[in-house]
Amino acid sequence: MQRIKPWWGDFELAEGTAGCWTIGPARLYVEHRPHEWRIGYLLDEAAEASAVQLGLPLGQMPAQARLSRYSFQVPAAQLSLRPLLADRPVLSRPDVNLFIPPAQSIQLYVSTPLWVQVRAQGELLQEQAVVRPSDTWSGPTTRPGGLAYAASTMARTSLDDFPYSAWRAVTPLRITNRGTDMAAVERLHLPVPFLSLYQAVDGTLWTQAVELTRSGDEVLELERMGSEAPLEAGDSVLLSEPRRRADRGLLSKAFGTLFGRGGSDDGMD
Amino acid sequence: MEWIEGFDWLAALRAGIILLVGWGLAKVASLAAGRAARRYTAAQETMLVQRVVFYGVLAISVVTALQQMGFNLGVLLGAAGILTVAVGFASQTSASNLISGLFLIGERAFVVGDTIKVGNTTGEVLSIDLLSVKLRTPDNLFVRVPNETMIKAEITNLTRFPVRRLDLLLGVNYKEDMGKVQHVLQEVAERNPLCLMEPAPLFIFTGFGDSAMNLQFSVWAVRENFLELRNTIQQEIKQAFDANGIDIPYPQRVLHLADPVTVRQQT
Repeated sequence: MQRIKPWWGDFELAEGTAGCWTIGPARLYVEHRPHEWRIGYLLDEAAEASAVQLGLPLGQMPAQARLSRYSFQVPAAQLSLRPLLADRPVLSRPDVNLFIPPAQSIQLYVSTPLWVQVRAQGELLQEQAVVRPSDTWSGPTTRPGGLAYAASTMARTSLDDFPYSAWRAVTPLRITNRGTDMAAVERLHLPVPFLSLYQAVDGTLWTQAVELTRSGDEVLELERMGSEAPLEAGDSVLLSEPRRRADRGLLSKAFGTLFGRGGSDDGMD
Repeated sequence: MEWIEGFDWLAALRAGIILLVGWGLAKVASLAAGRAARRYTAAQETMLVQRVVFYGVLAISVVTALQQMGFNLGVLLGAAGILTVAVGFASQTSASNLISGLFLIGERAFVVGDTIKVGNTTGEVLSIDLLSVKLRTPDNLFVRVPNETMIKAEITNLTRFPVRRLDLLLGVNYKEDMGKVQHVLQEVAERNPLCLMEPAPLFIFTGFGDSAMNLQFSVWAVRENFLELRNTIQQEIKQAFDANGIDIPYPQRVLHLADPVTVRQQT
């Protein structure tokens, strides 16, 4: 069953025509004029569906759309849209306090917002968040730490009735409490720039699975990060590579920050 | 004519060539030193290293050139010693600025490119020189602040830390429910993507004023977005207050008269 209709991929947009991509609450208009691409971006009311309309006539771009123009000497019709994970870590707060008793290992599913990258004739034209998340600061004080995006999550423990979305990717998260007391999961800080993005057969978007462990102290440490698509995604294809790569030590530091220790968000101190 | 005949043209030529080569060497050496120092030092320290190397190499070539011309350097240095005392008395301020400059560079309270506030002047640091600090104000004026002033003054570095707090001081009518006001303000902060979720916005009921209940609402922003947040969030607060019927009162006085006053209307 197709849960999400893919809005990404390679498209042909002949000169003198336009296209409209609906990505959840956002609408992306692209017009191919002589020697020029026009891209308009508009945010509508909350919606999760996606749709692609090609071969539209020119001049249908709403006046309130945020417009950019890109001029090329040699005209060509190739256009490509690609989803990307966020360019900073995402700090998700469970909307209801979540506690994990000692010696328990639980599975959570957290979704994070996506960015859309537009390329024409092989050149990167623009890249922006489908819906711009709020900024936030990760770190115990305002000096050590780094910038992140804030999100609220229901931190679901199963995929039944999971609200899959065209503009969010799901990360399976396993948290193990090896401590002797109850662990409070106040915030889940996902270093998504280090993760890849996969498309499942049903069109849903996934990142690798991430495992976190809490030992004796209060901090959740990165235990393991999957190297390929999660099992939940089934047969899947890689849509985008990680934005950044770091060795395990640096990643561990990054996660440390994310869960309230010191350090910087990009894994570099 | 005798003087011209006695003049050693060859020595003068040699001295000239030494000066020219020395100048070129000084340029190359200072550039190389700057490139090497850039890896380990801040911009103003690199600048200092470059200048020290340039003038050092140039001084050596001048001394060598003078020797070629047949000058007795011992006498020259003696004269320079006496001159230094005289110049030292005459240039106390410059010397003080020079020493202050070295302390400023060593202290690293700010670096080239930072935005600082000294007294009433706010500006971007263009250079930290041995005598003064050069600033460019937001309205594009060039300001030279002597190092002696800098070392004595209180300096605020506006760009040292990546996030800044914006304090909004508001007053609401006495009839308002403070819980509702707090809720509306929190919602405005949550909706504005430039307002950081953490550190969380701070709400303080500061007291009962003459005409309004006073409160402070403090929100955090990334340094680069500070001005934009300042504009957007105040507009959004006004809109949210209007939408929720929350009144920001004008100054007002309630008069109670000791004796009842009869008002008669005359036609």
